[in-house]
Amino acid sequence: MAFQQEFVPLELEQLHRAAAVLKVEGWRFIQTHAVNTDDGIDLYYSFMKDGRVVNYRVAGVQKGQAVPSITDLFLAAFVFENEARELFGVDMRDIAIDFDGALYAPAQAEPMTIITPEQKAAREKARKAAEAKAAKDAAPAEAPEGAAPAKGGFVMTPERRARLDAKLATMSPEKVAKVEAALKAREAEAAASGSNTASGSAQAQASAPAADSREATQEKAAGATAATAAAKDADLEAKLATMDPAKAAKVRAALAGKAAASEAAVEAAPAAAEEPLAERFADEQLEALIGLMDDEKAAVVKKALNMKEGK
Amino acid sequence: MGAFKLGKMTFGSLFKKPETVLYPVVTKPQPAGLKGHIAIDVDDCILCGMCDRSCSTDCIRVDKQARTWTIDRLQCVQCGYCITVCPKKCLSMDPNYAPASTVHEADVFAVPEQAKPEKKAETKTPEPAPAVEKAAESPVEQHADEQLVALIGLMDEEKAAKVRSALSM
Amino acid sequence: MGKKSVIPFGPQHPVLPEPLHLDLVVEDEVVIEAVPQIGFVHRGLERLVQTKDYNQFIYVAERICGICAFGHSMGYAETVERLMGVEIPKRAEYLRVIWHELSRVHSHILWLGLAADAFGHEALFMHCWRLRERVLDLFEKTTGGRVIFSVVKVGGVQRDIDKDMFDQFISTLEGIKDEYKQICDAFLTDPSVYNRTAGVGLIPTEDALNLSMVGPFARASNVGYDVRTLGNGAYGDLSDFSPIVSQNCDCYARMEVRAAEVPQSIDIIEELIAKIPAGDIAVPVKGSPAVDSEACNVVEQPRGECFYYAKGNGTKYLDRMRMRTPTSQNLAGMAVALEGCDVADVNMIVLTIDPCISCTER
Repeated sequence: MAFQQEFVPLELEQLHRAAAVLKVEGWRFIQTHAVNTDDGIDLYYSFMKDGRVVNYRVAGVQKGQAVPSITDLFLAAFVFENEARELFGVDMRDIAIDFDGALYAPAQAEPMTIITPEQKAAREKARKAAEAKAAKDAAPAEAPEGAAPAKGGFVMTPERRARLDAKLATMSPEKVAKVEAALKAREAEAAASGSNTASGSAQAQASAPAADSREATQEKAAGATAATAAAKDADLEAKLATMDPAKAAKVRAALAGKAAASEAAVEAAPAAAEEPLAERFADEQLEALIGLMDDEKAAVVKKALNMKEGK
Repeated sequence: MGAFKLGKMTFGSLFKKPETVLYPVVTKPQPAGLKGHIAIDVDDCILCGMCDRSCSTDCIRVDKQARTWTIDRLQCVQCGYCITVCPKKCLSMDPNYAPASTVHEADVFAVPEQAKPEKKAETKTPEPAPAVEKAAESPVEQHADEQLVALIGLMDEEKAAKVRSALSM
Repeated sequence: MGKKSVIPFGPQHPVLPEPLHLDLVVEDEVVIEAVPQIGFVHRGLERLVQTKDYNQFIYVAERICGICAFGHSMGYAETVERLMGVEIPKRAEYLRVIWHELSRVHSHILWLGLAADAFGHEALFMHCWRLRERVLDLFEKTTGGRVIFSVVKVGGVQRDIDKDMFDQFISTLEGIKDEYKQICDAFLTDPSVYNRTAGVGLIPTEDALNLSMVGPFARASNVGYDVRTLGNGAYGDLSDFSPIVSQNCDCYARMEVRAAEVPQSIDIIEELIAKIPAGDIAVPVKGSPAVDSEACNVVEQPRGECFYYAKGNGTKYLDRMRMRTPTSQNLAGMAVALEGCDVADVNMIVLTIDPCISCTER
């Protein structure tokens, strides 16, 4: 149970559904906060389970874009949602305990979205510096392998070695040993930086072998998911056997839907080794999860979901 | 039952030494590291202005023209950040609290002129390095490389590291 | 069926020095709804972070709250260190945890004194604050401050503690432990205290989980969540740590949990003092957080888990700093706990939750 942090992007449409799934899965709500960016407001929803903190980032929420409240699932979010509305001007809808702009009652509307000219200038400068640095780093990576790298590159060529040996022959033994040691250190350094630049160039140019290897890992990942899926199936069958028939049928139907969906997903884009987010928060999965819950809890979650979707 | 237990404790304290001191007559000794007020050793100050720029409450003013170092005691929060950034270590934390005052005014310290030769001696300390650097810079052909490596090998480790970093720069 | 009326509670109230306002909707002396209202001391420190550099802000962070001062500076420093990929020396981690646990001791003793005062138990209040004074003296000797310590910096700590001082720590803490036990015995076995708090302000475990409560408030409802079990920093080196929980879920359980956490903290301090490694207390930190770098962190403060988030923008100023304090998370739990209680019990419930509104409003 060590602390881990993750930042995961999330679509605004998926937000409420994601919260419902996380609630069912037993995640603990930590907090919500907003960050002012150039492309709108980013909303962060943090959840924790077993020391793993996952921050779901809803990027680029525009002014006037309605954001559903998650206070029907996690009441504790009410302070943060009111705060986001008052300080950032996010249009939060249906907050359970709604202060309607009177939580902090700031003198100025949306004080956290104001960027002073000095701040802007400083940020631009930093961004440019970072870009310049990135460009500088990328330059040697693109240079061909054989050429001597521009910076810190010491390459021991055979003729250099020969000349040095001749010189060393005239020196005292301790000195020779010292020089040898220095050379070795230098060579090791050069080798390390060489491999770095090699990997850098592979990444920068996205060359053919790299793409191949990525495909390979994708295949591997797909295989792994298939294996875990099989294991899960067996597990579920055992569980289903203990359920009453009506419920079991429901869960089976849901699972069939999920399997179809996930197969489609695998064919379309087998991107990450972990379950893709979109799939995790998809209808079928949710249904299956609700099916596994006890009735009372299921009713609460269903009610919350229906309310949101206006069913 | 509870009342009796506490009663014992309260009754016991009748016979113990009091926890408090008789304030105006007796004062509590100040621990050595107490955050009292910022003191400056004006003789060492070079008026660089680092403390002015780093102060989070803007209570320090450094005036290079007038050669003064000014602190507003009422604004200072004794965080000690100026002490950590001072390059000459001329600032320190005095364990005595700044005395109470009836007017809001800043303490001004005049910084005397520095003796010139002292400064020069300080900049001169890294003596032997230039010779090596010259060798590095001289535009000799490939020959220079091995010579340099050999030279680095002959140096003691600290120096070698210095030269190497200079070269890679 | 009585008439519904609304009773305002706070922000100035004899039992609670915190500016918390509650609108109590009352029917026949029974609270049917409680709406918390904060915002009386909002200072906009999350905005201030954009105009103070990341080293300066540590002195602002510790001024968020007078009791959790150390926790805030430590949590902030850890977050910035994670943001910049700084590894701090082991000794610095130990020192931070020792001071942090010491601030938990003083916070809980202070709370017990306030609770006793609210009961009209003036003598016990005096005894609690007498004990707390000794803890503050330890702080004064090691950090130079009694409430605001300014001893943490990004990359480590600013002051070291030597062997003699550690011996003094142990002797003082042993003395506190002994007297604190007597005080707790007197207070918790008192029938009037028991009758006043047992069965009041019930929050069942399931509700506590649903409301995502944190800290002693949650642990009294049998939720075994404590950030210290995650083993951040020197907590990872403790031989044995398990959070103190209670099954009773009421006001009395909250008192019991807090009372038991003080000896536990003292044990942690003593274990860490025995184990503390020699070495540096800080590493130099150069440069600024990278553009769009993000980091988050959790710290167990006296009142529960505190969450920090930081985002860099390439300058020495942070783009965004978020501090979610334990009390803001527990406000929902407080509103639920107050529903259905007697008007006379409101102050007992609020007091045992131990809200820190200054923290909440940053």
